[in-house]
Amino acid sequence: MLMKLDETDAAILRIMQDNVPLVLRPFLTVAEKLGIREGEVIERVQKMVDSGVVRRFSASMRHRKLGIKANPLIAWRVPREKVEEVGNRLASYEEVTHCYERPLMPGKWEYNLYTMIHGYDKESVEKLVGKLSRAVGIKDYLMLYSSREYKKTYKRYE
Amino acid sequence: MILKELQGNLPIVERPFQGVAQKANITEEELFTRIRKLIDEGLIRKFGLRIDSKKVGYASTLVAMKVARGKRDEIAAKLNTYPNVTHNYAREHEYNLWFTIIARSKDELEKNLDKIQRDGGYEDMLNLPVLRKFKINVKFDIK
Repeated sequence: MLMKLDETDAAILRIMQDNVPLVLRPFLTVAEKLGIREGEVIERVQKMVDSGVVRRFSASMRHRKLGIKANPLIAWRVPREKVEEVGNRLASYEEVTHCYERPLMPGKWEYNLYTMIHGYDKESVEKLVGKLSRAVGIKDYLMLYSSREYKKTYKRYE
Repeated sequence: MILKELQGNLPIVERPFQGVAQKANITEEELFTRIRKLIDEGLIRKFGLRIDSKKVGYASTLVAMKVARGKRDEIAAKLNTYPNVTHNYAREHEYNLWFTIIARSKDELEKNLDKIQRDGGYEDMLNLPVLRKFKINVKFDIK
């Protein structure tokens, strides 16, 4: 499960995790910085993609700036034997960006499946959640809207 | 259209931007100008390799806290002083403060959580680490 990265892999990740060089051949730029061949950088990154260390090579958006302002965390109360089926089903919807199982605390906290949904307004999000709820047959859920963002950052790989 | 493409998964090849530029019918240089503008305007937060932090040994969890309404801002500000706290939101629920915390190892995560417990000031706290991932794919449909 845990991938062993050597110093060169780590150096590539440190350079390429925030902002890839915007040049025709970014892997060449990185290779020159590290004193190795372009082909070696590409091979190493491809290996990290194959092993799952690198999930994607892509841009992350500030969705609030795009007008996507209704972003509830939804906590579903799913019977243990249905978690697998419901989790996979919810994950299959394009509008669901995250879908995780988390522990429940009997008698205190009974919600065990969490999804994030992003929409332009509460009305469309609530409609969608209604649809999801009917599709998976789970009626007990919490819509946890964020009323305030105190912090949103990312931990850099160091 | 460009934004949608850039949220996809670029190929790990010598010229990774070529395909997107071709689709948008512009040169790669023109594409870079547009990307820089999107970064300057703050629409793009970052653009690069997305790392699975768990696979490189990091440990993280989601914590839900129940905090007296009048104390919420103060507790949130205190939590924000921890560099390992990455996301922190007020949410409309009895458990009204939800934050994520990540550390280099399980040990370090536990130490951080212990410290937060010692700081106190809250009524209750639920530690909700991921047990199983069904999906993580933050890709927005741009209107």
